[in-house]
Amino acid sequence: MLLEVKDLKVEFHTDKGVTKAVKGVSFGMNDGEILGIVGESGSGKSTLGMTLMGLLPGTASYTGQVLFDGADMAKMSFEELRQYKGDEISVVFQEPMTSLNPLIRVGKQVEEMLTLHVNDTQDDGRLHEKLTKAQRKERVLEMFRNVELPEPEVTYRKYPHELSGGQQQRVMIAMALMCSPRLLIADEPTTALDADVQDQILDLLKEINRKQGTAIALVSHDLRVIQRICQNVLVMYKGEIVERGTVDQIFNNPQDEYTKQLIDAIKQEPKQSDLDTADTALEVKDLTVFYQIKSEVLGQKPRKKIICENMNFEVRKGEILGLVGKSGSGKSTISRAILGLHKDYTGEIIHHTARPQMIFQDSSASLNPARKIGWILEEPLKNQAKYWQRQARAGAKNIPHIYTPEERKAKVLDMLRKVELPEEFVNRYPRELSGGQKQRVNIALALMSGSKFVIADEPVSSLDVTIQDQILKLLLNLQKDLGLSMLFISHDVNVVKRVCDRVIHLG
Amino acid sequence: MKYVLKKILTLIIALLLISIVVFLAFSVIPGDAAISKLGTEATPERIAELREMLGLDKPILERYFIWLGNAVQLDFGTSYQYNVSVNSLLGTRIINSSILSIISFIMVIVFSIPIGIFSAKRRSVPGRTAMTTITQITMGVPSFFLGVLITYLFSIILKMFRLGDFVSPADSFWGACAYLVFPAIAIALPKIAMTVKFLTTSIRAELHKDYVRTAYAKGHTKNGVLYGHVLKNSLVPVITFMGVIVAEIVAGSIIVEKVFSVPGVGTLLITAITNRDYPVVEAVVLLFAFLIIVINFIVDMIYKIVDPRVKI
Repeated sequence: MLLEVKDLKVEFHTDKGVTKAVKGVSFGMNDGEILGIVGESGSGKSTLGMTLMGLLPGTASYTGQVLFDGADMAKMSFEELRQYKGDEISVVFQEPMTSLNPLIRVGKQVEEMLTLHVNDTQDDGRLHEKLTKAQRKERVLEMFRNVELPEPEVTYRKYPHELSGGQQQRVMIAMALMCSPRLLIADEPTTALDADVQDQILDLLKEINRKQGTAIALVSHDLRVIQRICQNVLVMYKGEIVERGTVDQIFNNPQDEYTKQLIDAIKQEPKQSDLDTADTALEVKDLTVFYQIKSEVLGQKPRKKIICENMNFEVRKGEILGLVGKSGSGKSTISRAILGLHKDYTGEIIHHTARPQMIFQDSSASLNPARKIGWILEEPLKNQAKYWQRQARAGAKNIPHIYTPEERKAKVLDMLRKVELPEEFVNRYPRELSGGQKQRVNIALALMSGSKFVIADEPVSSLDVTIQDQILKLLLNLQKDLGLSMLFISHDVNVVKRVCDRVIHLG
Repeated sequence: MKYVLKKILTLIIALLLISIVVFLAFSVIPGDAAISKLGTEATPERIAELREMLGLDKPILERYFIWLGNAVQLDFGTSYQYNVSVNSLLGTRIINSSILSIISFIMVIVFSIPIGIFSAKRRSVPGRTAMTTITQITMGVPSFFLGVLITYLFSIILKMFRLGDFVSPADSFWGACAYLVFPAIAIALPKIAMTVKFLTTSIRAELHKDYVRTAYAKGHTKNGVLYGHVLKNSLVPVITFMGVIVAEIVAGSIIVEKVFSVPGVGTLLITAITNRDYPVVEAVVLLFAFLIIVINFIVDMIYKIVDPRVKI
């Protein structure tokens, strides 16, 4: 057995007290095995991975045994552990961009592994030879070829920001494999990447496992990722392993309630659209969106960077239209143009309803942290009331009914019910809510002004699978009950299939 | 290249605006060079005569354009007070002041980086509190007051130098440096404290970044992570901060030169202002402005070299 974890408990000590992240976990891994560790955020799966690497922050402490090749890593000093890190056990993180040092050329960063371990004179029982500078570089270039990085010589001299996300992750993998480790811990290695790049990276990991026999512990929240390359799976929930087995067992015959939920969430049938209306909420004709790049020289005309060209589509009333594309394909810029936030476009954008409202990806960043939920939800109505009061004073006619403060409060409570949140949330602050709850508040906020047309920009991308499922169900219910029209922007084809009536793909 | 042209254009515009402001300021405040030179006892005829001689009777706009015409050719006129050309007046003093500023700047670099690293490494609460207290106090003491303390300590008690015994660098370069070390300490100390604080914060912020975790995962030692990865990243914002520090050193030297009786640009500026000697004031202010803009330009350039993500 390569790795044996016995009764591992990890605790975090903070000002607020002790948080138990991992509560007595035992499992084993064989040489050359690919083990999937799946769970939602807060399940302790990442903490588990970091414990194996000896990378827990200073506020954490752990008990139990972590036997790597028979040696108990839990009893090792920093210095002893250091001999294993990068050499016998390596790790690939979620965010390749921030995980690489921005100021050092990627070739040098990978090469560092060799100076750290191969030239290391410490006797750790493995055959190590001294390498010259030229030999080290040759090894790095060879590894770059192995992980299929383009033009290894050129890439060697590049800085992280000059590479694409997929290339950065390949550099991270090259770095992790440089000293031929026996165990590779991949912590959400594909989560930050586009769908097609995700598949390439997973294939690469599988290939490495097949060729070099490196055991891989793949930590992920995404069952599809696990299903694609793993042999065995651990399902973690609230710091415990709730189910374990082979991929086939878990997927075809799940025993635990939570595992069943996870699998249900990804096995959803595509939506059968039964819409037959011809009324449109939004028409987009010959839309070309661009950015103006300011010129450096006085008098020179600004250049245009075209984001998308000659787009034609319409969103029908009561329809959810999906807009799918890779990151950088201009999805968000198009939505900003439709909202009127981006002025540099040609063509026509015709609104047949009130101006659309927006739901963003980052549910916390879009809520004012200093205000209570009740205040946040009431704000659009207050602004409306102020606007009409001003209009009335200016002598305008056709003033609609202006809501009194009591009516506004009632409407807020009503909206909370619609997004399935308890009424007492009016007195809560955003930080007291979970990610899913916050996103429900954002949906409520978008609907507050009475708009029947919503643009949702990756509304579930940063949520856990089971929470995603709930939010998507809510959006579908709102579509049915309120006759909501929606432009649904996402990079995730599976999510789009589930909720959208029609889909547009961006190149 | 475009960037350089743009910077030069900014430089010219800034210098023009500053020269106008100084000219206006001098026409607004009461008193002029003729009165301050002849004293309050002088007869009105005598004052009028001198004013005509100095060209002070001409309208302000005309005076400005005459001055500007000469200044473009790097001729800053004649000092009213000393009756010699401003250029010759500035010549040696620029050298004295430059040596003082350079010594101060070297002190800031040499001391604040190691102290900053030392301070960032303190993990215990008492260690951190001690470092913060020391830097806060040092930061808060004004340079001229430090100057008085240093004079007292090094000159009167330790007798390491005699106040006012400044040797011109033309006679003995090292002699001049040996004297200027003391005012330089007065100027540099608060700036060192500021830089230490800035660097400490910067290093601590970097330590939480993802790439640090990667560096540990590679099997680096703690020092390997700090010196191999963190330090360079945490020095990037310090480079920008250095631009501010240099400007502060130049400005701070004005008063400190006076305290230590160093015949530098600062001392000259103070007497010139009291005597309404505006050809001198104009020249010194423009010199300072020019220096600060050029230094900021150099900082931008260094920034670009150190951080490959920066595009100019």
